[in-house]
Amino acid sequence: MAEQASGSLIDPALPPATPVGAAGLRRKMNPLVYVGGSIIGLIVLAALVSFVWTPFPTSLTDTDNLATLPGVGGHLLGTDLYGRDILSWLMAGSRTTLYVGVVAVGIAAGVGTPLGILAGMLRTRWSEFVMRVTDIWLAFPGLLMALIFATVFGPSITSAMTAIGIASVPSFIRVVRSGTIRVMTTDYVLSARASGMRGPAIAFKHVLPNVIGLVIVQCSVSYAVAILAEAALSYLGLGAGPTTPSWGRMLYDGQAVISIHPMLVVWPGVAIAVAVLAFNLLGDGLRDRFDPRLEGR
Amino acid sequence: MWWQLARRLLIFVISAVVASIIVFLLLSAVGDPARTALGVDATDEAVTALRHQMGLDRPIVTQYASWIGGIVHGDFGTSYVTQLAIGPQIADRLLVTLWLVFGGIVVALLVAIPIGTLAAMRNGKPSGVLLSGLSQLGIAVPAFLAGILMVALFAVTLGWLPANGYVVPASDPVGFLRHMILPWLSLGLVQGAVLARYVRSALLDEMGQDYLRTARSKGLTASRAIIRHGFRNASIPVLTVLGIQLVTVLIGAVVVERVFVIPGIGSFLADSVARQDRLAVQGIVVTIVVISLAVSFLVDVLYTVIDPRLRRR
Amino acid sequence: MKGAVTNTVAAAGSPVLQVEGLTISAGSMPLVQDVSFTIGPRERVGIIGASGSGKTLTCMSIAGLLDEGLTATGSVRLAGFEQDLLRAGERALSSVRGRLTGMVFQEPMTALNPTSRVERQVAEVMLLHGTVDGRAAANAEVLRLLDAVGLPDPPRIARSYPHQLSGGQRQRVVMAIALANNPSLLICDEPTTALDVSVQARVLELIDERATAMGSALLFISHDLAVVASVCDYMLVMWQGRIVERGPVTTVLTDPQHEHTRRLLADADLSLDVPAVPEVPDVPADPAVAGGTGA
Repeated sequence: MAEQASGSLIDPALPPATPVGAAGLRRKMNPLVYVGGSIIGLIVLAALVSFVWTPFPTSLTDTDNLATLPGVGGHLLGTDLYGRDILSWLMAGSRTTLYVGVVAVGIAAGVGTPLGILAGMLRTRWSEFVMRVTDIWLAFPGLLMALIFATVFGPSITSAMTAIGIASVPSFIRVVRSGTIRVMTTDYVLSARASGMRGPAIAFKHVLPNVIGLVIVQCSVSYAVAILAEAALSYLGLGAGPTTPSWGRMLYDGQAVISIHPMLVVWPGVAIAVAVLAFNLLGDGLRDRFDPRLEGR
Repeated sequence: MWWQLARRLLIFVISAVVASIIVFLLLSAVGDPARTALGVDATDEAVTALRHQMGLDRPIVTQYASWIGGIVHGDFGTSYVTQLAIGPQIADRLLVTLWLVFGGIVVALLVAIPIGTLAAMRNGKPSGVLLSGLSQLGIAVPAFLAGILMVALFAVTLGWLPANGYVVPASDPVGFLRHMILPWLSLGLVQGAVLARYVRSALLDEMGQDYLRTARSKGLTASRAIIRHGFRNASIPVLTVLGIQLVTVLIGAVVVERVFVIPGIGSFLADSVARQDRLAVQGIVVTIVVISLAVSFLVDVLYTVIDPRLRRR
Repeated sequence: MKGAVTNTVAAAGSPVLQVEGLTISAGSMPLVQDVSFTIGPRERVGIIGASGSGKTLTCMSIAGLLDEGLTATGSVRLAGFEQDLLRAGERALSSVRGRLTGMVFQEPMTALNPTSRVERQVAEVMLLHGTVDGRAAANAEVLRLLDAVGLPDPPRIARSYPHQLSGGQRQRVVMAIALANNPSLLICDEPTTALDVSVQARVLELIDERATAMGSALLFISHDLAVVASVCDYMLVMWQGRIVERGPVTTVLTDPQHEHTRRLLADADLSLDVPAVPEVPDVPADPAVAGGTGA
């Protein structure tokens, strides 16, 4: 009978995995990974290139060509309200997008992974306590945390990244904790403990290599979330400043004149959507490859 | 079962208290609220005077106690920036936001259930793949972006619907609806896409289950078996996700309210943040967070009601 | 064995099930090849084979539950249903399942809907085919059925959820469902394999007793020779998608012709596994004389 591969019963949020092949050749790399990866590659490329070259300098205001359509005055995608070249801003904006993601995910993974391993390896009551703390932590999503930080520290990219990073920690704790628990119940860990292997050694030698896949998947997912949070924040005018190229900021600028120049919001909007899509695809594809919960299905 | 309920309620109350402490510490204990309120050029005397007036020279525990004590009685304090009472504003605006969120969820369900079901039933076939692809697209577009694009298309370019604004439903129901259609759609379509994936995966999970084969062996067609038996069981994981999604929708509403200039609690928050009005932000955030925790709690309870396996002990 | 299809001892009346030239393939790869047999009224036919032999697929095509991705040629005809089961659509098949046929599958732990009470699930099969008049009558019948399958305290069981019952109890509930509408053919696919050894014998007894009491024919699939031997009159041995040997149980067991049958016999430990069930006439008391002098 055809085997029905599906999401895990433990985590209903998992989308279905690729089917297990008859020959047992399971979990070949999902092609979506390559699609997502290539798009991200393009974005990284644009960001890197923008350090040395953009069609027009991002600070340049071409006052003869304000809010023009694509093609006018040598501006491939047109200009914004201040005469700044949209394509250049998109390219430079990708830097902010990637930068925010890297810092936020870095904080989240760096803090969440060890905490998750700790929570998974400790005795039940402590583990339960960590779960409660995580639940409360989850009530403070990225945008909310960023708004709090913006109130206290003033709006800036830095406060945004830190806030989003902190808010993304509990997702990592959860994922890593459940992965750790699974590893701890395997036979080889049990025998390692029986032969006297201590906690830290087990953590490094057995747990970490097995949860790293889960961490990578979560990184991709959280990256997408971070991009969205920063975009929302900058759109509210509480993230990137007026001269910092950021896709969210471009939305803010475009929104002000949307009734006259509706196209100005489309470019940054599409860029954001594409970036988020790419990270989601990457995460989904990697999940098929890495998630041990889908093993044996 | 009642013991479980009481335990969960206790956890909720404790979580709410802890969350309020966190909010308080973040907003009142960091930096100097008085200086922020008065500005960088303020004299030291003025700052000290304001600090005293704000009660910031009291021990932190006392400050928290008096704040939370007020909240419990519905007194969120008066803003040092706007001089307005915060509580009444939250109350009025919360209602508006609830309209927004409620409509958004309804649209999301109307989108997610059919699409998710179709995608599950046509799994592997081209139409199923297409539907899955569509929902991926929906996930990548944040609600506010969808809102902006919809305004650009339907309000500005086509002129079918108003671009922004809010009308009180009691005074002008039709106007209210006209102004809410785009906001509801922008929240709902996006959330619907997210939810559709979970509906699909939950159904696929159920479709692989033996009891559906038993159902078919009784004489139900494959589709009837899924609808009669699979749905109820699939609703369990979908419900959890919906609970989480409610929080996302609530946060998403914050930004959507800015897009459509809706005077809800979200725009109140955004404005207060821009004004660096700590007390107001404190009050609004604690409201939002407690609502999120309450939703989690309710979803947990609902879970127990729907899945008899969880009722033991 | 091609050609000769009639097999029974005394097949009184027209066959309940007639399978001819059944071939099931996944794409170009044949999984079941040219299977033909009949089952007469009240007859018990067992299909024995190792996993991969094609016995489950054969069973599924008779049950009208064959997976969509597989192609099936040949013919499967059930008494009381005009169409060939292989050509009928899902709607037509759904009128057969649960009414003319009743099914018991291998895994009792997952066979029932976890969120629905037993009473509803058993009543459903009767309400679906209209064999009772209304829910009240259905519920009364449910209690009777639960009692008939040997479940103690039927009212309590009826009100229970599946997770509150043991594997053996769940399998009995499944049997109650299968037999509710008095099917002419009871299909069992490894019904005792997933059960505790101590429970297996009792469930086999139950199958035997109920089939006799209700006058249904029985199609019994298993990899376990002893189990098939204890319940069936006639058996087919399948190997690699084909029937390699067929005959009355006694004959096949005492005088196996095919290599594979011999191997199966050698592997089975008949003397230990044969449950103490009332034997069907024509089968000697102890068929465990493998390759021996015979009756």
